[in-house]
Amino acid sequence: MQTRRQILKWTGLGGVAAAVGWQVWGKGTGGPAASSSAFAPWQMATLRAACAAALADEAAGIATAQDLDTHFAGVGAQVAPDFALALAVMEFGHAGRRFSRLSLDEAGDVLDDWARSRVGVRRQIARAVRDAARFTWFSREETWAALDYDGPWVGR
Amino acid sequence: MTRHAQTQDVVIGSGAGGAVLAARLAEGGRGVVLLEEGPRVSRLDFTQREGAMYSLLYRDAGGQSSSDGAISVMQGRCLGGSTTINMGDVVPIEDAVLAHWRQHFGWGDWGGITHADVRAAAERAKRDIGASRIAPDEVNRANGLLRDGAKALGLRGQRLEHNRTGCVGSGYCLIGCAYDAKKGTHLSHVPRAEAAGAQVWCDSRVDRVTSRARGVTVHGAGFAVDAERVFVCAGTIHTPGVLERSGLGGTQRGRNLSLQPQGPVLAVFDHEVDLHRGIPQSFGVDGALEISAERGLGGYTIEGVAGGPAMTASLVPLPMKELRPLLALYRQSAAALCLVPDRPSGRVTSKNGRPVIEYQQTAEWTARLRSALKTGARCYLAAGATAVRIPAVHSREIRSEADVASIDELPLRSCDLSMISAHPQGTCRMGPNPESSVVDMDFRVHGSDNVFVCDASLFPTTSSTHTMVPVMTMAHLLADSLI
Repeated sequence: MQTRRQILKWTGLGGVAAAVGWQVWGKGTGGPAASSSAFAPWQMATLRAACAAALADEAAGIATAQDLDTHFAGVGAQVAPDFALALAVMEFGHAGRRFSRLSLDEAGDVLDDWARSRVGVRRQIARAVRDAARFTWFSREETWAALDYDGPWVGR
Repeated sequence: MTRHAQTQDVVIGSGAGGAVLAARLAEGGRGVVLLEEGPRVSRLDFTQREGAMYSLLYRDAGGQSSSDGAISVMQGRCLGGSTTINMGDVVPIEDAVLAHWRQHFGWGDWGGITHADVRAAAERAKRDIGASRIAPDEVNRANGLLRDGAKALGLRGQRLEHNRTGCVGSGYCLIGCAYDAKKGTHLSHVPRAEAAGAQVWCDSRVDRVTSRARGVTVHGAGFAVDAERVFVCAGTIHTPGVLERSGLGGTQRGRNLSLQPQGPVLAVFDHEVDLHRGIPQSFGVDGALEISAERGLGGYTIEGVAGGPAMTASLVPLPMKELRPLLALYRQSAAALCLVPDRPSGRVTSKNGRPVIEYQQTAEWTARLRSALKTGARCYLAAGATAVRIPAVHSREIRSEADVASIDELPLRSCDLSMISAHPQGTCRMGPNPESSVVDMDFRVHGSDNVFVCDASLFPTTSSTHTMVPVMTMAHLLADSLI
């Protein structure tokens, strides 16, 4: 079990790495397109992995990440930088491999661990990612049959 | 190119405070420009699809939260403000709460405004929105289970009052009533204001207010309006920012925030419940609510609630392997919100022009939350639930009274429990002393002759379990004093 000092070290390193990553990729040639995407390619990799972990499904993760990118490029643009920072901490802020390179099960375990963590910022990031992924995924009509939800009345 | 206008009164915000004021001032013969940051919306825009509607109607698409991410602060950002997206509950300010403010926050005789005046203003507000008590046959199955469980336990409860007329029971109140049954101010007051000659500008975010000879200028992106007076009704979270950018409000601006956070309880039954259909919130278990002149509002109340699939899935912080089977029982589920009035324990500051909501749960408040969650669980068990779940990271299934005790050990650190706030209050509190308040007893910002505030930020402590009618009440009292 990691000590508190180790956890803070990795979280702090994650913060540094996030800043480096943003400088190298966020503002450079790998950065986001002007208006069609909120996140750089490396951030999208983290987002896909995070959404997949939150939904325990890789295909759902890919679709949800795309929806979220569209959202943050549009009406969510003001909070996109905060979410991007959360993704950076998630990508670099834990011991071991980069989050986007973990298996689905490993990424799910990290998300669950962070949701229960003694470190408040980890709980906050886990919650933000989970809430965003699940709200977005279950807004899709294709998910409603599993809930036996018959959908809107308007337009019937 | 800047759109420029001249008028007598500018009102910022079209919610419970601003829309009522705009209507009263315009009907009183004043020239009025009502500025709303969000879009002009009507029932034709309400698609009942969560993703699109939260983005269209809510501040930050429903993502506004306390700075630690623990509490989702739900707020409308559209014509009608939060009255367009609320549950439609009608709960006036109790006399004891007013007495609490008079005795402990310097309200004293409030310039001659009596409790009878306040009740009369509240009655006027209720008439404006067609308030009535929810009928017995309008209580849906989900709320009925809460009622039945409370009754079995001998707990006091009652059907709530609301502002719907002709409700068809679709259950989509939180994302805009597509049937104009729920009377938000976009229906009750904005049309009246416009009929009386007020201009209503939507998509018009106010940046700041500046003084000029014999009045003010209200500045926003692409517009400026000269006026004699301005009424800031942007809500508890955003009015402080308007004042800050205008160099107004003093040292208390943004302080004394109450969020009145609510914690959910989920229950599963062995039969269909369909919590998502019918009026989502029609019954309240209020036996533990405490109201006194000495302490104001305390205790807790438990009220039925419902959400669509997306909101439900996002509010249950369990691993997917536990969430999936729970979601499969969506139609057999009921839910309630434990509303726990708090004392002011937060503040709103700003960073890069955006509000930062800082809030600290107190130990006393957390203890009351645990009591409320246990009572909620007991109600559902008494109603026959096969399992109850508190939407918290460490929660366990509750299947019996013996399991209820586990709530006492449940970690409730920030982000452990999914909590929401729909009733932020207090950041521009009203009081006679500029050292301890932002707004004087005439609703004027201290030190200003022509900048007024009229929204939930005025209240020194929690005004009510639901703030729509309290804010409308204050708007009527202010209008009465001016017209």
